Amino acid sequence: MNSDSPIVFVVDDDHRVREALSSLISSAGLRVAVFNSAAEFLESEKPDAPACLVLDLQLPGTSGLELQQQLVTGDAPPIIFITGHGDIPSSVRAMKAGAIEFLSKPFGEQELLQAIAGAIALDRTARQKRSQLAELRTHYDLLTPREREVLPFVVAGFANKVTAADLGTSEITIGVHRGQIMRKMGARSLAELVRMADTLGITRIARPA
Amino acid sequence: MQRGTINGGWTGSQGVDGDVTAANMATADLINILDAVEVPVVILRRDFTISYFNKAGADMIGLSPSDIGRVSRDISVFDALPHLEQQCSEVIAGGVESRANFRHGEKWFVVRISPYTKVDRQVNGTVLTFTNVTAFRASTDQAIYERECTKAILNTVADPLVVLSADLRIQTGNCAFYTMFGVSRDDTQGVPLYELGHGVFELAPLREHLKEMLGGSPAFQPVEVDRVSTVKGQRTLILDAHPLSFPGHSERRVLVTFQDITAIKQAETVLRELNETLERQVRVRTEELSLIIETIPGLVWCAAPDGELNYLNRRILDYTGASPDTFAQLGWTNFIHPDDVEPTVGAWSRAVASDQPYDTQCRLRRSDGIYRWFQVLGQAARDNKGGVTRWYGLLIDIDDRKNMEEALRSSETRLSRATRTATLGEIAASIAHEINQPLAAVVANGHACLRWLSAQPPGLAKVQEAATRIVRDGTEAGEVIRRIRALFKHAPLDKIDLDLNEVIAEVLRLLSGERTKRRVSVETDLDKDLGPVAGDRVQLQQVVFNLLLNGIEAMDSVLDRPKKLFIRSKRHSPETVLIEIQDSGVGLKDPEKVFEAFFTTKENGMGMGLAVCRAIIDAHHGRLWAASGEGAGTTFSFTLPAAVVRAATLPAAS
Repeated sequence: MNSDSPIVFVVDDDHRVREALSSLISSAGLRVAVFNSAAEFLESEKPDAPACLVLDLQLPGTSGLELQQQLVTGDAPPIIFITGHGDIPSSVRAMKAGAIEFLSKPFGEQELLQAIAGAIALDRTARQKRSQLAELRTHYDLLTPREREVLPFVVAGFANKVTAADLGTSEITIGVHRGQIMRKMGARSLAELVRMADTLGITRIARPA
Repeated sequence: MQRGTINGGWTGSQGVDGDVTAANMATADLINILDAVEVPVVILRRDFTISYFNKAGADMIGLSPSDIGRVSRDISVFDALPHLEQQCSEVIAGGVESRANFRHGEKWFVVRISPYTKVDRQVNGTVLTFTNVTAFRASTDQAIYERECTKAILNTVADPLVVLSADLRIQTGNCAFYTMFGVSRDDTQGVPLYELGHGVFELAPLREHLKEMLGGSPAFQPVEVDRVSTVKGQRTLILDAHPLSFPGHSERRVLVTFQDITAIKQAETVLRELNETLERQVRVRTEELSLIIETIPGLVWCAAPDGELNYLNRRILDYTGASPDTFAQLGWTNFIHPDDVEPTVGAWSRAVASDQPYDTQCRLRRSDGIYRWFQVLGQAARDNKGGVTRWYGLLIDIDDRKNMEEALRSSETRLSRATRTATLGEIAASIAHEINQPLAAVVANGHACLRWLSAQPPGLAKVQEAATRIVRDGTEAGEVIRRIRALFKHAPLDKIDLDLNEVIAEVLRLLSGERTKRRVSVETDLDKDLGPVAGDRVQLQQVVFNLLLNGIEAMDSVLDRPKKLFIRSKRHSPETVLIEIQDSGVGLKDPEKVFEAFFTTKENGMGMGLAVCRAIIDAHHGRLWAASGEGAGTTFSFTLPAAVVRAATLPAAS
C-alpha cells in the first residue's frame, strides 16, 4: 500500500466496534485509522489520500452530527454514519447534511464495504477536481494583470482586433498577450483554454451584438 | 652709703649711737624705710656673703643676725635658690636684673636679683628683693591643675576634638584628633579646617552651619561626612560643633567633635543587607506559597479564630467576581445559595464553637449568577496551647460530581420506575441497545473472519484475532444480560399487600381488545379466599400481563380447535399461593429454555420477556416454571409467598 492508497477513518467510542471494523475494512485491502472521539480525529494528521469517514452517531463530547457540521467546510472526506439505534430524525439530518450512508448496528459487511467503496470513489473525484483547480490556479497566477484582462475576451471568442479596440491598444499587442496566455496556461488549443477558464469560473465577456 | 652704717643689718641698727651726723641721719631713715617695707631685702657681696637684710628678711624668710657675713650657700634658707651664685655672678657681670622663684615654707616669692651699685657705679654685689607671690601662686596652680585635668580628659576622650578659631582655623586638638588624621600639633596649628583630610570638610552645608553658629545660632545640625581619609582608612564621621566663648574675650571659638560612625554604618549596611536578603527570601517563599495557593484547584480562604475572613485566594475572587472589600461588606453568606445558608452557617458555627474541623456542602454563586455545588472544608491552625489561631478553608467545586450523582440517582429512580411502569417491550428495546454494540462487533468480526479465511493465502493470524474478539464480545454481551437480570432481581420492590385476583382481572381488562381480535376465550378459576401476597403491584402486573399475552400469542397458529386461555388462582400451601396460565397452543419442546434470554419463538420478539418475568418472581421469592401438556398447550405457573400464613386447619374446616 503506497502513501496515496485510500484510507478509511473510523470514529467510534466503543473499542470493540473499532477493532472489528478495523479488521473488516483492512480485510478489504483498505488502510484504516481508528479514533476514539471527534476531538481525536480532528487533531490527527491525515494522509494526502482518497478517504472516507465511518462515524458513530452517538459519541461522547462532540457527537457525530456535530462533527459533521464542523467538517462541512473544507476538503473533508465523505461520511458514512453508523448507529446503535437509528432514529429517523437523526438519519434525516445526517443525510441532508451530505452523509453517504446511514447504517444501523449490527450491519452486514456488504452494506458497509459498498458504502466505503462509493465514498472513496467520490472523494477521489473530488480530490482530482481540487488538484486540477489548484494547478490551473497556479498557471493563472502567472498571468500579468493585463493578460488577465485580455483572457475573458479571448475565451469569449473575440477577434484580436475587436479586443484591441475595446481595450484601447493595438491588434499586435493583443496577439502577443494571447500567445503568452496560451503558453502560461499550458493550453494547447483555444477549446482547452475555454474549458480552463470555465473551471476557474472566469466570466466571459458578452459577445458583441 | 657708708659701709659701716649699713653693715650689720637690722640688729645692727640697734647699735646706732646717739651723736648722729647728717649722714647717719640719712642712713637711719633708709634703714627705717627698709625695715618698714614688708618685702624681704638681702644684700650679698661679690663673694656671696650676706652684708645686710631688713626686718622683713628676718620676719618672713627667717634670717638671723648671725647670718651676716656668712656665705649664702651655707644658709639653709637659700637652699631653695640652687642657682643663686651663678645668677648673681651673671647680674654682676651683665648689670641686668634676673629673677628666680623662691619657696619658704608655705610662702612663694619671686626673687629679683639686681646689681648693688655703689656711688662710684662700681657693682659691688647684688640686692635680692623677695616679692611674696603666695596668694597669686595659689590661683595659678589651680588654673594649671584645671587646665591639666581638662587636657587629660580631652586626651582620654576617644572621639577626636579640635578647637577652631573664629575664622575656622585649627587651634588645638586632643590626642585622638591628631592620631586620627595622622598629623602633629605643629603641622595643623592655624590650618583651616577645610584643608584637613584633603578638603573633605569643604562642604556647603557644614560651612553654612558653622557660620550660623558663629553668628550666634545656638543649635548646630551635626553633619555626616563620608569617606574621610584617616590613619584607619576611609571613615564616616559625624561632625558636631559647639561655640566656645571666654569671659573678657570677644573672640568666639568653636569646639568641633568628630564621631566615627563607620562601624555603625557598616553594621547598618550589614543589617540592611541581611534584612533585604531575609525580605527577599520571605518574598520568594511567599510568592511560592501564594503561587501554590493560587494554583491549587480550589477556593482557599483564611479566617481569624472568631470567623472573620482575612484572606481569599484569587480563585475565590475570580469565581465570585467580588473584591475582598465586597466580601467584607456583604459577608460570605451573601454568596451562598439562600437554601444552603442556614445549614452552612450552622456547620461553621458548630465548628468554631467546638474548634473541630468541619466538612459541609453548599452552593456558591458564581460571578455570572449561577450557583455551583462546593465541598467546604475547614481546618483550624492551633498554637502550642491548642488555641485556634487561624481557620483555613478549602472549597472544592463538586458541581459536576454532584450533578453526576444526581443524574445517577435519577437514572436509578428512572430505571426502577421503568422496571415497574415501562412495558416489557420498552425495557427490551433499551436493553437491546446495550447489546447492539457487542453484537455489531461480533457481526463485523465474523465477516472479517470469513474474508481473511477466503483470502489467498488465508490471513490466519487475522482470523485468529477476529475469532478471539468474537468470543470476547459474545461473552460480554452475555454479561450485559446477566447484569440486566441482576438489576431486575435487585430493583427495589415497592411491596404492598396485593390481591392477585384483582391483578389478573385488571390485566384481562387491558387485554380485552387483544382477546377479541385474536378470538381467544378466557376461562378463570380464581380462589376467593386466596388472600393477599406481599408484592410490587406494577411488577407483578407486568408478569401476569406478559404471561397472558404470551399465551394469547402462542395460540395464533391454532386453527383446528378453540383458542382457550385458562387462568387459575389457588392456595398452594399454607405459605404460598399459586397462579396457573394454560394455553391451548402448540406447546413447548423444551419448557425450561424459554426463560433464557433471547430465546424466542416469535418473529418480532426480543426473547427477554420470560427472562424478566422469572427475574421478577425470583425477586419476590417465588418460583416460575412452565410445563407443556401432551399434544396441546403449555401451562405457566408461578407461586408467591402469602402475606398471611394460613392455619393448616382452615381448608379442612371449609
